[in-house]
Amino acid sequence: MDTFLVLIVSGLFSGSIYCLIAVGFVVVYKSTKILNFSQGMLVVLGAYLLWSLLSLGVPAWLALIGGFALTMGASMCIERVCMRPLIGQSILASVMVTLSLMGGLRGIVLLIWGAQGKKFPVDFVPTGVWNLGMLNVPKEKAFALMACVCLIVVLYLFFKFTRTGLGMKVISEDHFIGQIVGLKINRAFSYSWGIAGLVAAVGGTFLGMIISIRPELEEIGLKALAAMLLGGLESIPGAIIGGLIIGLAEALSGGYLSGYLGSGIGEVSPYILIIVVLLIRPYGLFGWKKIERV
Amino acid sequence: MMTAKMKPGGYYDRTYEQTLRILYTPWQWVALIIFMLFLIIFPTFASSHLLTIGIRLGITIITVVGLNIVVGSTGLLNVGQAAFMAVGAYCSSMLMSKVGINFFPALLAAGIAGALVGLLFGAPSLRIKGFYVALATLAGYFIIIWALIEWFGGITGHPAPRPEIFGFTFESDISFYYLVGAITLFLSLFARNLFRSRVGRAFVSLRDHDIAAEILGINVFRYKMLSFGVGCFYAGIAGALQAHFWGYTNIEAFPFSDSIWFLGMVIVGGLGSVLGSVFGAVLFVALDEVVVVVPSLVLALFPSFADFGQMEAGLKWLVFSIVIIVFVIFEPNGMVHRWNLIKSSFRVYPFNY
Repeated sequence: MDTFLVLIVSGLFSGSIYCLIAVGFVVVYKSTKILNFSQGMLVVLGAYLLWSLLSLGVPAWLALIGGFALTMGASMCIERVCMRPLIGQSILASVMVTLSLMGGLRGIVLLIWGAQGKKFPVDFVPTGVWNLGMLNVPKEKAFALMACVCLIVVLYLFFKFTRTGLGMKVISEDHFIGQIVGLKINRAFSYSWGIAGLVAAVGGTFLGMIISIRPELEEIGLKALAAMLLGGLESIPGAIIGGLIIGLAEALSGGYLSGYLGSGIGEVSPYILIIVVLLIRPYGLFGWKKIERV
Repeated sequence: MMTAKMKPGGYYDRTYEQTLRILYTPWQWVALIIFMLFLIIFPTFASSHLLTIGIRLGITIITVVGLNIVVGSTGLLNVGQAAFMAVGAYCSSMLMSKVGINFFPALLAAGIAGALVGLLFGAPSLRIKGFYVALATLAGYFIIIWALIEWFGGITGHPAPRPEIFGFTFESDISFYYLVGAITLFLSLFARNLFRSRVGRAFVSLRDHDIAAEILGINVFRYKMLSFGVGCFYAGIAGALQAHFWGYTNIEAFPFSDSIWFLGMVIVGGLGSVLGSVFGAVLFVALDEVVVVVPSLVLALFPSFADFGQMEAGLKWLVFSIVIIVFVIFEPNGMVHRWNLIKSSFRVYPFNY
């Protein structure tokens, strides 16, 4: 029972990171219908930018703001340069471009920062452990979970009550109708990539605090695809639930099945979930089933 | 994807067979024969490094042509091609070193193993399309690599001896070059003929609209599976050849990035075209050679850049990605389209069209 609880808690914590990344996927997919494979690399980029600012001696609060702003800017630049010419092109083109963006960002990261792991010189949140009975809860992971919840609430309010957010919802419904009622599609796309960059930067900050930053961390982004798919491609609450499920599945299968199926089962379980979801319910838990007409 | 190709003047198609022919004019035959002769005498003057590049190119062409059948002609986004290559490599090396089968049956078995695993991960594509297929094959890539590491010999894998037939061993690189070249030629020609057959047309109709294709009487599931099977068969063959060229199997030789680059070669070369796959493979293998040279040049000029290994890896990622993105944005029809435009502009010179 003890192991079970420990696994549940650690699964929920790693799930919160998946949530943060999956929300970035969903925000972009909702308005642009593009599956952004490079989201995981944006997370890594955000972490590295923050690290650079910190190692330049910028005070922590300013570095946080600056790092978030830089990542948002980078993300919006990517949208402007690489994705906007592809509006109306085939899915193959957009998938190919985001896949190669993943590679290109990785190349930039390798060229600038190298391949060694980096650790933030300061801690943004208290570190240490809370002792809850038999459970040891690492504080930074708990803060990651809280930040995840806060971010979701903010995004929910943004899409529900602000003019821009409502406009983006309309555009995600139908590009054509959005244009008819006078919304600017380009701007909505740009904002959605900006939000994705912001979410990525937050994810990168926590990732950098929990484990050291390495270019290989983008694989977390690929696993978060499972969270997005499980929740349904268009649904932010779905991404949250999907992320937590993926985190739990990873922790539990790593804890209980590695004796039978080899030690890598925890790592690979999100991908197995992708296949299962695609076979049973391709539109996810909360996604829309599309009816296609010829 | 292929736009109307201008045909040489003075050659008219009077029968259906004539429209389908690959080579039109006697000069095309002459060019082909000269090219074949060049390929045959190439090892006599090539350095061992060039020969290695030639063999690598052949192996890359096989896997990219296979990927082109799946992606370019059927429109199913396969981002796991490197894993299917790994399946082929592990299968043939295990069969040869553990069971003791001759290379050629083992090669065939590697192709079939690749095809079967491809069918397994292509099966979800009945209900899904677009990037859902990309997700399925992406998941497939990681599951296959994990399975190979856990159950089929681990990261370093097995020794893969050079092929041997009737007492003759393909020990030297030159003989291996001829072997790879022959297999590449055969498989490319097979793909070219597949594209212009009934099956190939069924693939293209699936790419253009699968529901419409089904209404036309094409068995969607069967042809999607067939496409995946053939494409992954090619990958299995290519992976086995690579393993036997190096003499051992190693899971690190099949990184996820290779899948992206293979996909990039298909798009940069031209979707649904065998010639395009060859162009794409040549471009990327050549770029790879250039990228390896650049860091040492930079290091000679600016000794302060001491991070040699990272610069090499980083440059490769960056350059390959930029090439793919530039091609997707500015020339989505690929190099083969440009090639046809150049050819027809020569034909109609001095007029514009």
